[in-house]
Amino acid sequence: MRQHSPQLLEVLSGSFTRRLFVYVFHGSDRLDYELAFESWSLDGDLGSAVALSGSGTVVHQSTAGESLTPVGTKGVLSPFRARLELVMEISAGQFVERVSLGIFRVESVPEARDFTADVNGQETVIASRVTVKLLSLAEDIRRWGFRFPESPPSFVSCYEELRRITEMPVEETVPDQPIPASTVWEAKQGGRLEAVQTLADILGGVAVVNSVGAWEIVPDEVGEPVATIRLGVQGTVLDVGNDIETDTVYNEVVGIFEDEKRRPIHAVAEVTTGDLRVDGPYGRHTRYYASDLVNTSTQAQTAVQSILDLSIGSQMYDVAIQCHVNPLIELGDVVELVGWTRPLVGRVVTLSMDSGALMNVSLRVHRDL
Amino acid sequence: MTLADKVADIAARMPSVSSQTAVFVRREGTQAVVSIGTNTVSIPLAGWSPPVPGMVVQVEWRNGRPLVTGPAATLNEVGVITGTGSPRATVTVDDEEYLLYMRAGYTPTLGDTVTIDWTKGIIEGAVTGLDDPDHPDTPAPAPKAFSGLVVRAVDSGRYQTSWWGKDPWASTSNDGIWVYLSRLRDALKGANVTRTEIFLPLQQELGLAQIGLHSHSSIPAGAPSIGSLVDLPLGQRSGWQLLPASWGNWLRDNTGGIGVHAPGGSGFSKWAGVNIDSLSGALRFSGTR
Repeated sequence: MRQHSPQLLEVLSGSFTRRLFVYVFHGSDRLDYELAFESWSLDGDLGSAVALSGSGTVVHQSTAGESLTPVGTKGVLSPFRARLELVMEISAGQFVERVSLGIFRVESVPEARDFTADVNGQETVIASRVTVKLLSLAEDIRRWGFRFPESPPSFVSCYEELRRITEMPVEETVPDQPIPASTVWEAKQGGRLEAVQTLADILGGVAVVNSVGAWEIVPDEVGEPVATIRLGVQGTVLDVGNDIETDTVYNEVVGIFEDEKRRPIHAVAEVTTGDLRVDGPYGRHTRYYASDLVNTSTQAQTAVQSILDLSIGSQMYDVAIQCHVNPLIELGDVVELVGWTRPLVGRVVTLSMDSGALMNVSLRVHRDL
Repeated sequence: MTLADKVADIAARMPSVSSQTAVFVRREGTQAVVSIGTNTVSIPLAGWSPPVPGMVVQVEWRNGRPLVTGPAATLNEVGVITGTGSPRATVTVDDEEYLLYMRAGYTPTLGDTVTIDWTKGIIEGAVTGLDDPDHPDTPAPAPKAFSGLVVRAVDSGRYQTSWWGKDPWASTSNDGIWVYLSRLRDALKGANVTRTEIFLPLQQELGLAQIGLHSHSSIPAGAPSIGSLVDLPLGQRSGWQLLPASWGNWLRDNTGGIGVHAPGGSGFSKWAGVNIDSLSGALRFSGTR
């Protein structure tokens, strides 16, 4: 959840006005512009490699005939150097607070236009409109490959390696883990971002760049909710799965692992009691599981048991919700839905907001079997 | 052919491949009998001489057909005789015992260092010694320089007998601070910071002001205690401003943040808080890692 004052939460549940503007960064230096951002949209999906993308039109009124239209690698908004910070200003009466939606890389400029007028006999730029497409800073890492295959200099800490290979700030949101000793990062297109996601897998989550430009791990488990989504007059739950899907309910898990000397380790876990027991009416549904992280028989048994527990414990389903714009909700937040027929707690896995008053999110909710 | 047809065609011709390891039991002609889990299966051998029973072999599955492609791990070719006998002797290799035949003419003695031909599973004979060449030291990776590492403040505030709003002030009766939770320590762990700057969004400056360190991770209940104060001269209170060199490593090792203060109560400077300027109190680091 993005940082905010306690008053902002109250304001967001009432009536307020919104305005979106952008700051322009070249490197870590912020330029002296506070530019209006129109027809914007911001989409997030926790499942994609670069989780956030957006677009919009930057509008600038010239004060001294300057143009913001990028020319090649030069210009304020050139995709070859500009980073934009999207900021939403919320105001209600005397109250004003600005919430940073995050820092983005300008990926492309599909359209740019200057407006000119005759000033003292000279044609002068009076305004610029530049349409930009934005991607989360994870794109920087996706573009930056390893020159040659490389193994971590130290296998002690995933976070240390994350700091080393991204050279970006890291926030330690889940407990640290050692890196498996056989890890080698592959030198290929997008290899560095894949390495980041491999480290996130070891830590038990998904790596995303948050709104302050730091990597953090969104854990796979749904924890305590940090925010509340309210369904108001216009907000509504669009779709809730009531279907029962058995395709992912396994009652027998076979693990195939290797120890350090590559000797095979096999482990089996099965359900022996209850409705899903292997000799019961549900029948057997076998899942195979392999992992480089397991190399003792004790670990193997724990691993297959936890896969089995996860499989029979609950089902995950996505709930699509349309609700009032809440700029504080970030991808990966655990939120609670109130004002609907039954309470729901889930993790935000997709998110899309734009200039309108409503936003769409989908929550991944666990339901007990 | 439409694109969908092409994709379907490619998908249909994509081979299914998987691999696993198994324990070699014996050879039967061109087949290897291996044990996988609780079962023993017979799998074709790729072109290589099968090893001794008990060795770990690699099984590759291609489009549903298995093939034993070779030993899964290289075995040490040097062992120590731990049990004598004839025609076979016990040799211990990397803490594991094998019962192997010997080359004719060799009589095993306990404690002999012997070499083994794993393709035939034969003890070749004792050796008088083994070269243990000195490995050249692999140089430790040179520290890599980084710059422009920006960590933003989590919260900010001003204190005058209690906390009032988020704008840090340095005035007669106000102190201001920026706090960072654990963000600074998380970002700087393992780094040697040589340069630290802070972003100050100035609203007003007057008289004296000082900047210092505090050890709060979030806004405290009572008054903040700001130490290590250094002067912040007029005209140097806006934008990115350089902080003392030692502060970066202090913030790496300690929980804390940055505060502002007016010495002797003879100043009145104000900065925008994090609720108005998201870069307020952001720290920018350069150094090596």
